[in-house]
Amino acid sequence: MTAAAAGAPRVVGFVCDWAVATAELTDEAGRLRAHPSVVLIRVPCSGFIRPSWLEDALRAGADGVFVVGCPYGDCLNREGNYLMQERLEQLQRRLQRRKVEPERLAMLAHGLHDREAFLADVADLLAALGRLRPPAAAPTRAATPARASAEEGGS
Amino acid sequence: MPDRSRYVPGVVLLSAVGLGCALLIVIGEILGSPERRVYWQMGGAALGTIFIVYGLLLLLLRKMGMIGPRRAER
Amino acid sequence: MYRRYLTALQRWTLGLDVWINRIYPSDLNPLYYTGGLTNLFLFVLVLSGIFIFFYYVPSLNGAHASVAYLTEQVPYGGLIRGIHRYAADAFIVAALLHLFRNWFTDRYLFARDSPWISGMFLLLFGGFVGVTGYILVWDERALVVFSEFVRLMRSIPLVGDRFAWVLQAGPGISDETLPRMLLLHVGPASALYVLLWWHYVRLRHPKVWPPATWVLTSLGIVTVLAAVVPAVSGTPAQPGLQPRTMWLDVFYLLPLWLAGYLPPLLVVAGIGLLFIAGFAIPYVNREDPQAMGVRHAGVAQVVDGNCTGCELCYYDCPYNAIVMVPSPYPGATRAAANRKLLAVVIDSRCVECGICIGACPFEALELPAFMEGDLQRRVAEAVRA
Repeated sequence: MTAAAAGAPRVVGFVCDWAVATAELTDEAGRLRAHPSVVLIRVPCSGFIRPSWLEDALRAGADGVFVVGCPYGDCLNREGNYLMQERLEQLQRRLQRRKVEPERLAMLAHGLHDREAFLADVADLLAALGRLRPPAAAPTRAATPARASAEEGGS
Repeated sequence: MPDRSRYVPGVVLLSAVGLGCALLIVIGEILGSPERRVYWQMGGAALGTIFIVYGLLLLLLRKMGMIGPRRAER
Repeated sequence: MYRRYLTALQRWTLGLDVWINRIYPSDLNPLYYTGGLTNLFLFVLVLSGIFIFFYYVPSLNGAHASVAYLTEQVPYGGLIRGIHRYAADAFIVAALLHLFRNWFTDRYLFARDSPWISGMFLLLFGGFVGVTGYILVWDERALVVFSEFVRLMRSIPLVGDRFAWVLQAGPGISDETLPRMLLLHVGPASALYVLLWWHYVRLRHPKVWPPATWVLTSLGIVTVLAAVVPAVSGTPAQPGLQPRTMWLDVFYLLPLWLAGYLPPLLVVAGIGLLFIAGFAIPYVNREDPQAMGVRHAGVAQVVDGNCTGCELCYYDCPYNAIVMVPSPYPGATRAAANRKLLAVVIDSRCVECGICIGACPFEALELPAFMEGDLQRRVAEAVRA
């Protein structure tokens, strides 16, 4: 597992159960076959996500985190994706003060059939995260404890 | 920044059609006519066209990124 | 079987969105605003109807002539009459699109059966108003429509004759008939707004109006249609005159056309069965709770000790399922100790979406099958691997 993930940014994705269908794209552990360092967790609505969970994911060692909701205008629960987008933007602004780059968080909107668009967005996100990592050859694991402890100390 | 120039010909065309219809209505009302009902129908067609043109103009402006919540755009 | 077809229909419906979202930004997709479009057309119907009401004379001799006067002599009268007719067709088309889309995308589950049932009544009343509208014109088509309608009513056992009496305001066509038709046209149309209150009552910020680009485009299409294909009356109604073949509005008059070929009781029973099936849709569950997985995570639970009464969940719940009550006792945590309000979830209104959980900054809400602890454990596993 670590061999596949070494070098690739570790990303946790929360996918609304009504949004893009990911059953064929993932294995049983929720790992994306196309990008094995990305793990998906399905939730009842994109509005279900508490911003603190996204923060916790970053703190636990993820390089990036994203939320996938239904296309804007078509949330099954009518407003979930709009609400989540606003919360995510607030979180990005708050985390910027702790020197966490806003590119590490992303809100995506994809409908049931938008598999290719979703995978393209994930690929873009991974590329952006790759550019963010420190240019030194040190793997992510070594960088993580330092950043985590800095955050603990900060909060 | 979305490529705005692609939509400019469409915006110009739609604006011209809308203006033409508006002029048609104004001139038609000034001229008047004994056979009023047909002219009311033409006026109605011109009015409807103005609405449709306006609706499409809003769509093109939205695609150009000039109106609307830009972050919601894909 | 039903489940399989419904899943296929759901995938197909969402597949349409892929095409439409290529042209329109997704928040301008007209299929996301089918309810708003229906409401728009209803509004146009009411306004144009009020205009027509000023000219219409509900008498056997005066009705046809008053409509002709409106169409020919009143400036833009014919246009307004055409707008009234085509907006009525657009109303039914939009209402049916709304019905099918909400059916195929599961938007009637849990507490959303309330908008669904009221919607079925709205469709029934709307259809009835449309039929009476065609009768009011009192041309030869109106006479045929009226006769068929009375025949359909009479075919109902036990109460049929009484319904026919109410419809005709008497045993047959008389001076009271058209005023009765006018009442049966305007009355149920007004009742639509009462039904709409029921339709919206369980929703927060219901989308009652389409985006501007679609308001303009729909109004434009209806106006252009009214101008290019004018609404005209046939020859005045004369009882005893043999009706010729005539154009029938397929959206409102289909059952009446069928009544010419099938036994009337069969047509009435068919319509009745369709509506009963429609009412049953929210209760014929297509997926059992286990198969629904995360979609059936349990009704949201307030963790009393943590709630500070900040009202964020109350503002975010799309179904008005959370109410704030004066706090009967102080909370357990320091932040909650001085609270004035406490959030309470109304179970019957909760659709288990979890949006309130996302809104709460104080960990005072949980979904029983998907609690914060579980989620954090899964995140930790995902990152560790």
